[in-house]
Amino acid sequence: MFKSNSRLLKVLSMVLCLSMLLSLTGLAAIAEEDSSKVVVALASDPQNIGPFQGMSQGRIGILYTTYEFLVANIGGDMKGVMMKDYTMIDDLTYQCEIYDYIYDQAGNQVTASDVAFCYNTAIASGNLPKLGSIESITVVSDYVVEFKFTNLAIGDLCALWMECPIVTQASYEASADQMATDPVTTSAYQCVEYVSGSKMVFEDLGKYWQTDDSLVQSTSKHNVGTIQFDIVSDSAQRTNALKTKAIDVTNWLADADIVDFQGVEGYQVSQIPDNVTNFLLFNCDEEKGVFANNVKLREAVAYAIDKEMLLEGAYSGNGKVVKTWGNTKYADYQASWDEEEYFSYDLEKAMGLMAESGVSSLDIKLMYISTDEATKMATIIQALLMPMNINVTLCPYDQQLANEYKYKPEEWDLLLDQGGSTSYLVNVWKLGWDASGYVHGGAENFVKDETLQNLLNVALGIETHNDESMDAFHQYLKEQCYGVGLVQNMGNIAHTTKITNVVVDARGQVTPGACNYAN
Amino acid sequence: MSRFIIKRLLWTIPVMLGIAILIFSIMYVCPGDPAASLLGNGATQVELQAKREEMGLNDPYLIRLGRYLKQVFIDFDLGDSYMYGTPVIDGLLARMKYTLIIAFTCMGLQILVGTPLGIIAATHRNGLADRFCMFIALLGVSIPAFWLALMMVVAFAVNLNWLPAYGVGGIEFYIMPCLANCFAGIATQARQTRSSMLEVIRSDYVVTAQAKGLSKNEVLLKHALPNALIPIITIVGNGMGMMLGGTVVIENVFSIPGVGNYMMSAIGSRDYPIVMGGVLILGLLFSLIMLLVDIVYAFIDPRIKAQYEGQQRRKKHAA
Amino acid sequence: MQRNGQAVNERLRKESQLSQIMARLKKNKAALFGLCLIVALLLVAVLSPWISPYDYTKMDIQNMYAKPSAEHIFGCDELGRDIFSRILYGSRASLSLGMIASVAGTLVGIVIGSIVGYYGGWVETLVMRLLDIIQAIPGMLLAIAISAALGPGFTNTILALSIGGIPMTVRLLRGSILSIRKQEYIEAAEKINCSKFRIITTHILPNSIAPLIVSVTMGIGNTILSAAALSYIGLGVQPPTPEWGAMLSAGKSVITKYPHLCIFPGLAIMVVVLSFNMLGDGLRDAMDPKLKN
Repeated sequence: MFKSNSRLLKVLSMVLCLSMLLSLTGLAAIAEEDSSKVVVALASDPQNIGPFQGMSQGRIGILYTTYEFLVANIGGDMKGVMMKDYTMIDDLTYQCEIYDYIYDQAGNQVTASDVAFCYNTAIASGNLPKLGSIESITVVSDYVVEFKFTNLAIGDLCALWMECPIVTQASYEASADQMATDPVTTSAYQCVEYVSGSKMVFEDLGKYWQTDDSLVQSTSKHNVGTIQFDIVSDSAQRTNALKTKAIDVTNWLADADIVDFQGVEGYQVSQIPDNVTNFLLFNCDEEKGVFANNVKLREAVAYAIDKEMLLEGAYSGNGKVVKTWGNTKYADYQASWDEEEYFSYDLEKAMGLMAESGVSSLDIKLMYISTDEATKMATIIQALLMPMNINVTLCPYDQQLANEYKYKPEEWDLLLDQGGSTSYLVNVWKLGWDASGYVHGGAENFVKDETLQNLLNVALGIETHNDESMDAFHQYLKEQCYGVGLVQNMGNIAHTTKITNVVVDARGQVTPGACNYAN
Repeated sequence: MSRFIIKRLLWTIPVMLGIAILIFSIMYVCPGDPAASLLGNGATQVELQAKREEMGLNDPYLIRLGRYLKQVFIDFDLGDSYMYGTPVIDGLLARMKYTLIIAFTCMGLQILVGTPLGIIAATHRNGLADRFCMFIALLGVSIPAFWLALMMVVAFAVNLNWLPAYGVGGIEFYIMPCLANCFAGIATQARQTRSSMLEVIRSDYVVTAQAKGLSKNEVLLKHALPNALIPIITIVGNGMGMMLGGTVVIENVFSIPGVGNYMMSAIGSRDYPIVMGGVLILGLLFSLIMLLVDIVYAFIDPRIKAQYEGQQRRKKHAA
Repeated sequence: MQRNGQAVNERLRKESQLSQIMARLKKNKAALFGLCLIVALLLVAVLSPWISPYDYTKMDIQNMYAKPSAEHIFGCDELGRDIFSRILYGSRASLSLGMIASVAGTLVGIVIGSIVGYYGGWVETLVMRLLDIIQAIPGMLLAIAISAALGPGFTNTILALSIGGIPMTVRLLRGSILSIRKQEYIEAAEKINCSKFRIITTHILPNSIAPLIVSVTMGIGNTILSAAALSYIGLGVQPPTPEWGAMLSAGKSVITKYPHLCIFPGLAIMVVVLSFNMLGDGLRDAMDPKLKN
């Protein structure tokens, strides 16, 4: 009917040309060099950056750039940041003295009453549950605050004093949104731009209060003028961004991507052992736990798991097989455990234990949080248990769901979990095995074992926390095999050579202000 | 006509109410604990319980629903986000920009590229151009958009280093997200345009017009196209819904801080106020666009207009 | 007498219509090609345990991320599992997901549509308004919300995806009921006190079946796409189930280094959706001869 239609063809070709032109503009890619600025990748959005929010994956990345605390944990020791000194009044009462020349970015001075205000507001918010062990906070003088605790285990003092950010009451009350987007703090850096979900820009205003450099802890250093955090949730995208130098440094580099930067001109990779360890727990609920009162069965599963294979499969071999419920990162780790036998893979032994346990076959649920690594580990565990006549159904959940189902004995038989602490190994144990943290009255795996609880209490006591009590708990947990430590992975930090030395905090996060920069 | 518009506008109110109840109920049965997101990993079960109580999450369904509906429809407040602590509406508006840029660019491309492709295919029926256009269109509706996006990232960002792989900024940041997201729309548009054009082209009046000796371009643009417009506009309306839904996934691939990503991370952290607010706002937007489509319809198609006016007349007579 | 004659005529007309459709479909090469592909894919899905070169769960740490080779023609994934075998096996999940969700949505839609057509009046108004509400939420968004609420998993994904398909079917059916209602033979049937239920099942439904089949066929393709998108963003079917979308989601973190983890599952999705769309196109053309030549 119609042979050609030149006008329409023209319009069409113009549209196509236009879109091509648009794509060409992309050629002018952004790659400007600026040595006074560092771009750091964040894996998740910090969301509310107000001072009294709960800890999240995104928040830990910006924490020390945004806020200062009374103290910092530097290599396991408590070092004062705002705190000048402290005195112990009795077992549960401590007085903390702060410097008398601390000013925030708005010029308000920080006094003892601000410290009390921050702690009281944080406790009232309920977002920082650790603070629950503080009974009262009293202002003693302009720069001295007294803390009374209800109980105090080893490492708690430092943990509690670095839990709550300190800001001035005046600035906090002047903020329209309780500092959710524009905190005014005592840090050297102020948030000057916050595109929610995309990026945050911090600038050194050049008026940091602590002028005596010898007193500036690494968490408060400010070696670079501008710090920009780019929120890039996808790990492949972070790798791309570093390759194109859109970012300068990233935590959480995938193990498989290390080869892209290791030994490559212009890049460096720093590997820092993670304080987090992967665990496997056996459901020992009296009614619903198939593993309750059957230590042979628990051991059978423990011996059937090839931890080397987990490490290889999930982390490309980048990490360590652990020898206790936790890893070597902590000061109270006992070197003697390294030499001990700790459920090393032995299928024959596992088969034997299975026969002794009186269970011939099993149908069980393995629950885990659906991250890439956990999925791989769970898949490997499933395959490893198959020859044992144990049929494993995988139950991957997102973080929130897993957090809810964790407490329900009917939801899982095996649980793949992670845990770490910023102070001592015994605090890692506390998270999993202290029944007082659970409504159901048992430990994380529902077991109600008084011996275990007593041993833990002894190891947690400030006076009784020693090699002996640590070993006692370790040995008992191993004997009972309520759960097994599996592997510890590496925190991979890749960066351009603009950064000459990467400095991390107690959580293994990059502290951009403390890093050393070329020129 | 204005009565028709007012009537349709009023109708969006019960629709919004329905959406609010629906999405609230879906979120109510949604397992997972917002308190757990707020307190982070170190919180114990005892501490979580206390937080839940404080957040009012332990109240019964009807009380919470009532509270939410009152808040939205009487106080005109979408509430505060659990995680951000800021009003949901602020978060949504700040992020709406990116979503709308992508959705409307795609919409524009769909109309500007899809329609001509369909016309060319129809006028060259069974010719080479037709087969080529229709094959491309068939591919377009069959390729997963997010997969296309991934492949584009590998090609243009990683290997060729022409375009940024993620994030927002200048125009170059939007090229890949828009192209990946609009391919299916362009394809659908081309297919629909082609079939409605074909239907019109073979109708008597077009044949007559041609027989009268009018040039083919004139026939095409003056007679065939206007009559083929109605099904084409329907596709545009529906396409908007597809685009708005599609950007959710595309934003995820390109780490674009739009409404979709906002809502996806909110689903992850069980930040219900954001999820509910986002669905309501997108639902409202979609409803308004459909309303616009209906109005355009009535203007273009004399039959619909006549039908409506006829009804009015009949009603008047009856009264 | 007359009544009998009319019924016979109608039956004859329908039969000839069907054979005409089949004849036209046979001439459509693209549609036939699509049909053949679908049949082949169904065979693959059924036979996958026997024809897969490897066990789809078998891990081989030595072959992690292995590139395509003679041994593993599509290469190996992040745990050294054979991707070709996983794609073959994954066709079960993807195909059944798409087909069940699409058919289920349509069936529920038919039931609701028939009820609406049967009762009319306020039932019709109420149901149509409720559907307005569901349709006011962009489809993908609704699927995301529902699967977030139900949690990941095969059946939950089917549920989440089929709900979105209901309103369209109801509208389609209602449309044809409205247009057929006015036709003479329905009026005749009504006059002779034929029950409404009978009218719907014997007259209206058979007449609406053609557009429904087209919409189901096209729907399968769209559902497979949506299912893959859901798995990709971490809802829907989750790894380690060898569903194609889930495979893509597992491979995306290494896409720049080992693109074969993403290329092949993506191609598989494309081929399946393409074949359903080709068949759907062919069916539509065959049923509406105006559009073809």
